[in-house]
Amino acid sequence: MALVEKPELKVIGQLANPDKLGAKIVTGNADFASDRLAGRKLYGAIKCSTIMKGVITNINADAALAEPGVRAVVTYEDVPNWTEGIFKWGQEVAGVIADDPYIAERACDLIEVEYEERPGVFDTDEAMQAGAPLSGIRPDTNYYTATDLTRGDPDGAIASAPVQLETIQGYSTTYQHATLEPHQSVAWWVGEDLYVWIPSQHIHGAKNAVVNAFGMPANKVHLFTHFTGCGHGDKTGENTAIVSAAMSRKVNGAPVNLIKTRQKSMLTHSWQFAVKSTIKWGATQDGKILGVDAKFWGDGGSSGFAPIANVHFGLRTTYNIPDARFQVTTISTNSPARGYWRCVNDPPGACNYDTALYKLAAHLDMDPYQLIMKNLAENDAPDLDAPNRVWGGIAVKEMFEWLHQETGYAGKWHKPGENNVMDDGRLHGIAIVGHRDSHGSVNGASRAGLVTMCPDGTCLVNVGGARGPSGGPMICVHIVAETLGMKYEDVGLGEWGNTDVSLDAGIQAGSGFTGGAGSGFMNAALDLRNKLFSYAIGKAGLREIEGITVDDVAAENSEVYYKADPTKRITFRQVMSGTPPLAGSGFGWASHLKNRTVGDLELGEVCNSNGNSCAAAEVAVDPDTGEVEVLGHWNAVDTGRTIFKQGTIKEMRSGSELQIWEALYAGSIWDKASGACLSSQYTEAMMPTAMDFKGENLHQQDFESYDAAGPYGAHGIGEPCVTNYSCIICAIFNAIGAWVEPDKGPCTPDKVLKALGKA
Amino acid sequence: MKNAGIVVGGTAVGSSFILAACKGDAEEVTKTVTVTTATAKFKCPYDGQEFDTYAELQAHVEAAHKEGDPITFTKFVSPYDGAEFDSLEALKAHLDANFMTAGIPGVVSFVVNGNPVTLKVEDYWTLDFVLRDRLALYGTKVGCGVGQCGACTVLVDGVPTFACLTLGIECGGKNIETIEGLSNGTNLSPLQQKMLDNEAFQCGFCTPGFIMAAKALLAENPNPTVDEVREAVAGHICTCHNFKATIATIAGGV
Repeated sequence: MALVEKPELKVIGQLANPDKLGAKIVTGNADFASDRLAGRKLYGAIKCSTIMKGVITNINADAALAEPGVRAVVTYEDVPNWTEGIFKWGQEVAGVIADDPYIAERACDLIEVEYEERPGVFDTDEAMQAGAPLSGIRPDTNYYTATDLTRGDPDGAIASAPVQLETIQGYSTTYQHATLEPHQSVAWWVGEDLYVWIPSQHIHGAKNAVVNAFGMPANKVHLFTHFTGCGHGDKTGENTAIVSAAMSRKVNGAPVNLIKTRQKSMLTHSWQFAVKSTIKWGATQDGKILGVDAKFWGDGGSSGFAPIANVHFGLRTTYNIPDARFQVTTISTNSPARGYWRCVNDPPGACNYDTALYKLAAHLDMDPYQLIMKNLAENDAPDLDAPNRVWGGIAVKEMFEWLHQETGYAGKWHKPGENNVMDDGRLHGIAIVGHRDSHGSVNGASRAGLVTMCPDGTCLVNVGGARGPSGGPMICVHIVAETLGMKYEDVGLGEWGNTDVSLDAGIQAGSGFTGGAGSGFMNAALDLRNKLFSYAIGKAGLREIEGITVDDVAAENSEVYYKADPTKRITFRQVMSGTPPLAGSGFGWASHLKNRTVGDLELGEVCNSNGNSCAAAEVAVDPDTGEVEVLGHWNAVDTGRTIFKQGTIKEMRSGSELQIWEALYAGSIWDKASGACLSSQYTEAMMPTAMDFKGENLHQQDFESYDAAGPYGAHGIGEPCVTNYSCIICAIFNAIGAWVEPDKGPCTPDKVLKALGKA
Repeated sequence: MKNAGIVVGGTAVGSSFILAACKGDAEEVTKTVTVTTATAKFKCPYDGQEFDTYAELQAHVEAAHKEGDPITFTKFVSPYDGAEFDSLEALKAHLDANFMTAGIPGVVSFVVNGNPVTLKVEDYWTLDFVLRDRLALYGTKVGCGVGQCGACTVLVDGVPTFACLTLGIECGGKNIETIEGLSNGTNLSPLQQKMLDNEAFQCGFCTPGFIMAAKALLAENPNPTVDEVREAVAGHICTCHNFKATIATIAGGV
């Protein structure tokens, strides 16, 4: 859905363009990291700690090494990124290299690790108490203030407001990324050269980590990734790359396939942040928000870093609140590391401030939709905290209005817990939420692309990144085809995810790939186009035209033509016949560049918008069992410009399912005394299956706004697609008139019954 | 890694080749069974129908020709070596003797995607490991190793089976079909083509398992409803969450 008139494009946004790697997937030929060297490799397995804090005092591997088929054992003395200090239950403490993975796993159990156990802290609230044991993640403290931002006089605005309300939101849900492909890798050394296959969302970043870990020259480290079996932000790959390389080094360079079991994959990798908040509101009786004082606390677990400083982003930028304070505190504990699950900010942040807004609406006896619309920031309004940054191109207001219309909200909304009984006795609820997302803008200055012409006039795009779930490299293919004026079928995906033959396309996370790599490949295509057009002018006999430059020709359907006389044209194949090999390279651009014109396309004023999103849910709650059925989910995302249409649709569609997963299923179980995770398998983690997706109606709509910052105005949407699961929680509130306490978990039937006062 | 000689489609891959890469000591397999049949189909001598497995042939004969139609023109034929027999029982005895375990402890013979295979396996190797790490059939994926995700689903005598819960040594005489067996060169099976046309995949790691489960479903029920599909793929997890599109693609058949 285009909100403004846009130049017609030939390739970009065309629904007919398929994923060029799809056939590999349906035939089983998609090669993931471990899919190589059958019969020619050894196998690695890891052993995890059974304490949550302490120091390794001794490792006895004699019994393991005596097992037939065991080749070697590694410890923190062999693996650069392991330490003798233990900071969480499940930390990697040793590894075995053996003839097959079964022997390796069995031998891990035979390794005896002795610890000096030290006091740790698992619970976030306990960690903030005076005198609490230190987690050891940060020196001298368990928490720190990540954000402290004040605009105007929030205390005064709230104190003088006719309506004052303090809302308290408990910790949002936390869960392991649980990607279907376990963490695994294959590594081997040939002389001084190291080769590693890993699943990676940032293969060049992983290479840099390996280079640094082993102190090697970069030209002797070769990393590869093709397909990644789901990532959600947990598959940058440095860890397994370094561990498997160390294992291979231990056995004189023989190929080692490190395969983490499902349990160990879940124990040793990151979990979504849990965030709680206390938000004070000052408002008028008719719902104009005058002031807000929002305090967020985020559970960083044992992460050495905890980038959750921006959980307030949506509240800060989506609403026009003149007097406001936003504080974010990160807490370190001896629980598993917290990391990106499709964003570190918006899913847990939005869950907090959306539910707080709904509480304010209920306090005001208002329809929350009306409260939201009354306080939305205007399009193009300067950032209240950074006035030199204009938030253009957003479609939040339009998306809210679309959801209102499509859901039939006006005829369905009722006051929370009132007039809500459906014909079958279940309770009906509906809600709409949305925000300016903190992801999806450009910032592509460190990303680059490479395009080469083939002798027959086709070309290859070499992407320095993996094929993610929705076909990320296809975005680059579309942009190259459009910019070069080629048919989609004439642009092939060359070797990708190979650090030897590609430039760094950036991390495929944070919705930064579309704008970052996309702008890099747009510049690469422009670089190549200038070279190609120069040869085309000569070969088409246009050189005799006085003063002719490459700006006087254009291309369409893989043909170059003279703009002043389009009958003068030459095919790409004819241009490349006898022409030396041509290639183009280019860097992405930063978000603040001036207005841009690309060829004949006036892309307009540059804004810097993100992949904003809104969503609505309609639910039915069984008051006897607490079961929640999502009757409908509507996912609206501001794509700026939809590049790879099929991939975008898939991303939004799965976004709906993932929001249902976040709200109703995603969770974990812990033994807080020992720090042990008790839900490190799929069934224990309540992973839904096809049986859990029943008659839901899932609806998606992409909105093309007028931002021109990204390539052809595109935003990244990976994160915005999944951030609004709060619509389901708010819809449950609308149904039952009470809030389900998340308590770091999903809205399970027992919690719903508890909210109903029945448990 | 010892005793790891492999025979695939009549081509022996010596364990010394494997061990060289892993720097181990070689101990050659002393017996291999060489077979030449490219595509193993069991043909009914009564009506000419073809079946992938002996079990299917047996079920067909017992159901359709129970009273024992006289065999006038042809006999029961071993698809592996062409030997002919007058009865099902005689064919079974021949298969058991020559193509089940080959008489060597730890050696197993089965048919994968129409190709007879004989190889040495450890008794604790699961079928996914045998397929992937001994036969290089990487299309079968392993997501959990404990039967919770369905990614490793293959068809064993036509039945969807979690390869991670099945020992390789159990598969003697079985007919195994993996994702690699569905397409014929550049020609995709109708199910694969529909999955491709509908873009019913995301990262693709779960896709082979879903397709194999769907193939078994469609063999029994060519026009399944959405609910029937949901039940058939209930043991499968897609962590990208592409359930609805995959289910919708399988529903209604191909």
